[in-house]
Amino acid sequence: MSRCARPHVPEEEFHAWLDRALSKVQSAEIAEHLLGCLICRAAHSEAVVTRDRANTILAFAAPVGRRRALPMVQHTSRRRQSAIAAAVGVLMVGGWLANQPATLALPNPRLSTMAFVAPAMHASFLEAGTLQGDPIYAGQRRLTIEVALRPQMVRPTVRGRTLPLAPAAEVDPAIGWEAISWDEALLAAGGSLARLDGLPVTGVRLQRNGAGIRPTFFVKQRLPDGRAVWVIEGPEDRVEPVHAAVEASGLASSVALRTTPDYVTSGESTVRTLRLVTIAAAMPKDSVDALTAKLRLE
Amino acid sequence: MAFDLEGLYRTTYDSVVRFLYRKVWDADRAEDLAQEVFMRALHHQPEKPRSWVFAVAANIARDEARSAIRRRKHLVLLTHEPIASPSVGKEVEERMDSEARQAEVQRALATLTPRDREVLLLWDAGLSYPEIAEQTGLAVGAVGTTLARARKRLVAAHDMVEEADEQVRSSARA
Repeated sequence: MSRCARPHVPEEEFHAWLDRALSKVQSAEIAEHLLGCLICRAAHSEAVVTRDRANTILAFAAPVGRRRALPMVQHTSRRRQSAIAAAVGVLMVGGWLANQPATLALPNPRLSTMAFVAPAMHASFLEAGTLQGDPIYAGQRRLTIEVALRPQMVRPTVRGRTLPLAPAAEVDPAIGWEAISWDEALLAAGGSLARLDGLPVTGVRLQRNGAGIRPTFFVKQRLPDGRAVWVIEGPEDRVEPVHAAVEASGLASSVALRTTPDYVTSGESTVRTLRLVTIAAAMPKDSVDALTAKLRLE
Repeated sequence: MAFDLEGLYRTTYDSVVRFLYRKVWDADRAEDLAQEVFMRALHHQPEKPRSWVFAVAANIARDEARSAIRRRKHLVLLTHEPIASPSVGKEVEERMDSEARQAEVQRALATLTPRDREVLLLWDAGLSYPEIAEQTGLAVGAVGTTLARARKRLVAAHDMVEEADEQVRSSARA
């Protein structure tokens, strides 16, 4: 599974590996690590995509007649092509998954890999309360959280329109994690969303929790040294299991803090929803806890 | 070991032209400068010819950029001269498309820091990590880090440029 004895492979090592700049011993170590680490496999795929795209872009910057053969037809932009290809892949995988009974699908190791392709489908398994005691389910749930915390492998947008992450997300968006912009997230959060002060926001994921209920948010931010940190915020009952799963995943998370509650008027009654905020990052817990001082609501 | 200009020319000429082209953005000028690089190589007969030609190419491109700034006034005057009308048809369309794409890449590359750009272009020109390290003064281990960052930034910048151009085209069509 994705719990590994050695630390995860840094991104630059994947680039060096792909560029054949590492020694045989280092290369073998990475290859061996990849066999047992889904997180690194996802990061590796991401490095492959980035490297290929950079090559394609650079191939254009050559005098006519001296261009290398391009890996793809270039009349459609590469970014658009990868988004479309990813969407098609997700639809195919999702279609297959949709026809599988959950009890059969969860123990299937292929799903572990698919989690990185269709995280929304995996998120749906979080809803399956009957599987709470199942160790395989626990592993899958941890993976799901790790997937949600990973940077996106593909950008699921075409001209600003969010592509569905899985077929189910089209029908019931509450199951899926959508990638949205900060402005959209702020709008969905009613103008108040937690983030760390002074750090750039590099991505936001949202899970809709139904009408009248505040969505759950993953706000990804970049620390000055380039490392990523996630601010997880949402209704208490939604964030608590996420918080527990993050801790189980090997990432450190801060103590969960309560922030200003939401008051949503529904009919004649007003519903008070408690909001929890937690910070997750691949760093010591003390450091993550220290980051809570920078939390601010916007 | 005897200096093999012919071998060097055969194996690196295209890469040197590409490398220079991405600095001066003029195909003819890039070829001229590449010729000059190899003339200098013939004269100096360097021990590590591959690294040497790219180091010299980088210096020549830097000098060229300075000269270009000095020539800019003159170029402003030339822009007022009538441009020969291009032949019509698919060829023109393809050329325009190609030029537009190239301009996008040029703008994306311009957003990188000089260090990131240099490392990326040297790697794309075929230099190994130790060769890049030697030329740029980076530690070999830092080349991978720089390359990973440069690639990500290039891709992100290209996406932004592409998106901006797409918006301009859409609004023009509307």
